[in-house]
Amino acid sequence: MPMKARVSTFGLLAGTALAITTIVGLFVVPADAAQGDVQRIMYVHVPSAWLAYLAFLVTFVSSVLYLWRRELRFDRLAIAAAEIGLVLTGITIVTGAIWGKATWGKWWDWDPRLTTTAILFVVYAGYLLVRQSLGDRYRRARLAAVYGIVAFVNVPIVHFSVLWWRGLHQAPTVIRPGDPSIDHTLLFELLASLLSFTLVFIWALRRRTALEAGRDAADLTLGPGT
Amino acid sequence: MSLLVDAVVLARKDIRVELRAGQAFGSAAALAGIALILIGLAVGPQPERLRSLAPAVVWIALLYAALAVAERLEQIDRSDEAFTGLWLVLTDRRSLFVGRVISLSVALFLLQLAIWVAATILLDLPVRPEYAGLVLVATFTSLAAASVIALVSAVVADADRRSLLVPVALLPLLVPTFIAGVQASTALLDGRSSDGLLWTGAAAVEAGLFIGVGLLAYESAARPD
Amino acid sequence: MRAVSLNRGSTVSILARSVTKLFGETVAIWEMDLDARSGELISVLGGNGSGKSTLLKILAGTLAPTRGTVRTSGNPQPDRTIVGLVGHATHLFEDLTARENVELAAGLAHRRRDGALEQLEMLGVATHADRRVGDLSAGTRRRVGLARLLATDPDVILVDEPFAGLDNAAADRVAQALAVARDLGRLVVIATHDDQRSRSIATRSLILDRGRIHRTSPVGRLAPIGEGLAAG
Repeated sequence: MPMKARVSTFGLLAGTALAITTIVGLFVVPADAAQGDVQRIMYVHVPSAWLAYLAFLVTFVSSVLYLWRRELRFDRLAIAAAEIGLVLTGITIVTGAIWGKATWGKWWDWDPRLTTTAILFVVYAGYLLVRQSLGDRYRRARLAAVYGIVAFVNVPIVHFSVLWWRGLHQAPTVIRPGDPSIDHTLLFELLASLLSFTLVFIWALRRRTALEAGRDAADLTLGPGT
Repeated sequence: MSLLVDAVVLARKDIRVELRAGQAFGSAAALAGIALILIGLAVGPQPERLRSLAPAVVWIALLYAALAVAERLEQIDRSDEAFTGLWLVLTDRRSLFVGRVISLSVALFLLQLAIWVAATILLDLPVRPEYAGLVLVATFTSLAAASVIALVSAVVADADRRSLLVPVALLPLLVPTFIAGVQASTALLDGRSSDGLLWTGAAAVEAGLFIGVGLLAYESAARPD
Repeated sequence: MRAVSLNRGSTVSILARSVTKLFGETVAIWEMDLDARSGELISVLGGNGSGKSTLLKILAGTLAPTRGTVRTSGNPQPDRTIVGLVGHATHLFEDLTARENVELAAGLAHRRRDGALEQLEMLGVATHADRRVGDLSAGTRRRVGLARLLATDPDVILVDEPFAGLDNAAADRVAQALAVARDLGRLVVIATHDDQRSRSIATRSLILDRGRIHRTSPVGRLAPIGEGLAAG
């Protein structure tokens, strides 16, 4: 099947890109002057965090589209993106904690970004649990879409609440990954790794959506053209 | 206009049932009371620590009480499929959302004030003039929480294993309201009224946002088919 | 004076096309077509599990068909209640009284609220008006449910088993109330086991068998209400 072949080629491309950036990130790019080798975790941590937000945005947009058009393909995209987003959020939290242990000396410092990410993790875990407990296919799609929208509306509110909440306490002086004073080679590697993560993200999104489409096609209770 | 009129009729129905059966507020207040006593037992007679923990204690007690109230109000509608009857009769179904937001807000507002009174006595909190600001905090946080609860309750109304799902689906979405509520009351208790006002404003913005989302999405969430 | 308005002259119709409902792999309704309009009283007959209740829910719009469409059209005014249903459930609030339930529904449907007692009287349950619905017997409760539905005066009246659990006198009152609605130009669809009684008021009956319309029998010339009751 041509579709399958294309997915495989794309998957191969994404995998190769990831392998290259991993090798470059671990062995080619110099270690950070201040933090040493541990800073290399940034090449996983930052792309995961960015793409997690992108994934939740995809879930939000497809949820809106589902409620508007009532076509199951939007729901399939929503679930695929939410699951991948949750995995990426998990990676962000774990890598963030490891990085935190090395630089701040503790696993968790209630850093605003990490805290926000942790809250989003429970929100989207809730989304997946809500989905699981709804029976009828179309009802599940519709109700999950509503939850997906409310969940995403929460993203900026949580972000600013946490930021503000932290701001009124003391501001921690840690080296931020977004610091513009970052070295050029490190920045290049960060962008390359973001690119390869994005390719893997798109590949995973397509695979997961296709899997869900297969399930829907096998479901006899669904009408044609779903 | 009929939206608001019908919503008030529906909210009055909730309140009338509650006044008659008295299960929601009673069990929620009991739950909150137990939470306050448990924290007192856990911390022991250390006035300073108890005072500094007060806002967090009040808000955790309130969240659990809110779950109990939400569950009971939902049960009023679900029993004998009374909700389906309302759904078919109404011209503008969003009145079901607005009505539920009104009755829930009233319940949460009263609960919050009751918990503060109990906490003031049990945790020996100093009574300051800034304390009056708590009424404002209670108003907006109740509205914000009520709109999230009304919408999400509709989403999970007939889900499997609902009793497990409701807290998991609801509590994460109540985090912003929780932060605003805790921060606003902490500031007021510390006598920082301008900070208290800022956080109350944040709660008001949240309330507006969630009511807006609820008005847009409620029908999709609640339709019985 | 009754709580419902007089014949409005407006017509309403239900058009169901190729309606299929599957629960998993179980067929509840299969490829069903149905045309019905104002002034008809259709009795849907059939054994348990023949799809009667499912059909009523689909017509009410409270259950989505797996395939097919249901159109309820007519000339509805903006604030009209189009479809009313008493299903297996009676859609009543247990902690409110019978009267409060009827008044609540009538008010939300923008109908007269003061007609509640008359509506309950018509169905023979006025003596229970101020009792809590949760304390009523099943038969009384079903009649309160029907009173609630009639007080909202919908264009389409769907009732699942209107005569179940009622004695003869009570069932006659229910039949009469439904016949009045029919004569006022409402479209009435009932699902029932009581062939005899429904025959006296129906304009047409459908017999369902495993989700299909097995047989349609026109009842013929409409029996006047009194005659129909005498037969019951």
